[in-house]
Amino acid sequence: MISRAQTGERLASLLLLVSIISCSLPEQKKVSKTEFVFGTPCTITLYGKNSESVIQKVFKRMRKLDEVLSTHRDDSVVSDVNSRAGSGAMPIPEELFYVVRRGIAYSKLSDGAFDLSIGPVSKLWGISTESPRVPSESELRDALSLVDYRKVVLIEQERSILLEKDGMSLDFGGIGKGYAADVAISIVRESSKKQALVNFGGNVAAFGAKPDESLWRVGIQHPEQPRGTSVAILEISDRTIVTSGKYERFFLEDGIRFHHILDTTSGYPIENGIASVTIVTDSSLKADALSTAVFAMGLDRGRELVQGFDGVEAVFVMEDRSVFLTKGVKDIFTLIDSRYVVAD
Amino acid sequence: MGKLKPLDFLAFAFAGIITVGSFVYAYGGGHQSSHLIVQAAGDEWVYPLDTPAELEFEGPLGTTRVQIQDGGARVVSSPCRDKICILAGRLYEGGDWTACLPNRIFLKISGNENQPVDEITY
Repeated sequence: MISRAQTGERLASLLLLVSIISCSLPEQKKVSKTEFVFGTPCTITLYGKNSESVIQKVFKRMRKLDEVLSTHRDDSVVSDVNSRAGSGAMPIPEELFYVVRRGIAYSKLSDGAFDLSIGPVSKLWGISTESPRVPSESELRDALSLVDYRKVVLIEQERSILLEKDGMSLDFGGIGKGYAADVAISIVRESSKKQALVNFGGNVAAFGAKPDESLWRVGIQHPEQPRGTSVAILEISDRTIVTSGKYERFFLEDGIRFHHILDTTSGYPIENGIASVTIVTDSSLKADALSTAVFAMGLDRGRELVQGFDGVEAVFVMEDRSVFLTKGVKDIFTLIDSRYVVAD
Repeated sequence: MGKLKPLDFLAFAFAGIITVGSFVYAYGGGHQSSHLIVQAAGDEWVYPLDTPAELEFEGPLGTTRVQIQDGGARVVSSPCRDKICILAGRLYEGGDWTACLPNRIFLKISGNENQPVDEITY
């Protein structure tokens, strides 16, 4: 028979045990770091022991990747490739070869609505620079004559690349950060971490679920509100979310707003009633390329493209405040702004 | 059957206090206060939001000025073209952020991170 005193002692021991367990929870401490890479803020969030060192390892790798993929740096491998356009094939690192190959594949799939050789046109507009401007018709015509992913040739045996025409240039703005997010998640996975959230300039990738096993809540930027305000929320684990929005990078001239998502046939910023397209899938590179392609293709053709892929979902936020969802995204989507309406 | 003694009650109360205290510490978040984290020129600075300050940060384009006042922070001037960093207005909740991309300055509010979202796609 247990005495009341023994019962008290056991209760006290039990509470102490619970207390000790709860004291071990700081092992799941959240660590979040942001650095400027790829010309944009990149945030990595990890939990638990060794998070700092894993984050450092990821950022070190990202800086190396920037040396390869950046079109803003004169010393990057891509800048070297672009400068040799029209003058023969050039051997490139395996990683760049892979990204270009995927870029060509998505250019084909979207029938050129996404085109990784858009460089001459995006350079003319200079929207991400300090001196953007509206190019003349003739300038645009000349630049557009150099945009053609079919003239980007990869030579497997030599692992080299050839840009067939002088003046051609690759632009990884629509694919580079996505690839980088995939690489970041793979580094985290190899480090035996159980969860991570990265946000590379708006490209969000989630590995696992949160430590309490709840889903990550990712807001979709509100097209009419200041940066950081959500129009809707998506809840995910082991998924990536990438958005192309016309509000993100733009400049004003004579009261007209010119944004950064360019039509590969006219050379002008795309105006088709879409404010933003958000893609949810398993690869950030795929999501990055598809968000640009689907935006460019418009609501109907874009939806068709998305529905042709397994495991790819989309959210279309329209300028008239209607929101279109593909079937598989409805269960993870919550609208925040009641002025917007989810269309059937 | 023995009676509980005063020391048993004391042990019981002590264990209870530690248990409750541990949970409050681990989950409560109330021990954190909000700070402004600024990243510029490869360095990171942290400022308490409860102390008014006028701050200047150098980037490739020039000086970005940040003001801390009334528990919040805002970019008051920056040598960029579009002024998106200024239009973001006052940052005061954990997770609020803005950036001057051309001048490579990043501001974020830390602590009390009770935001409804973990990240924002844009």
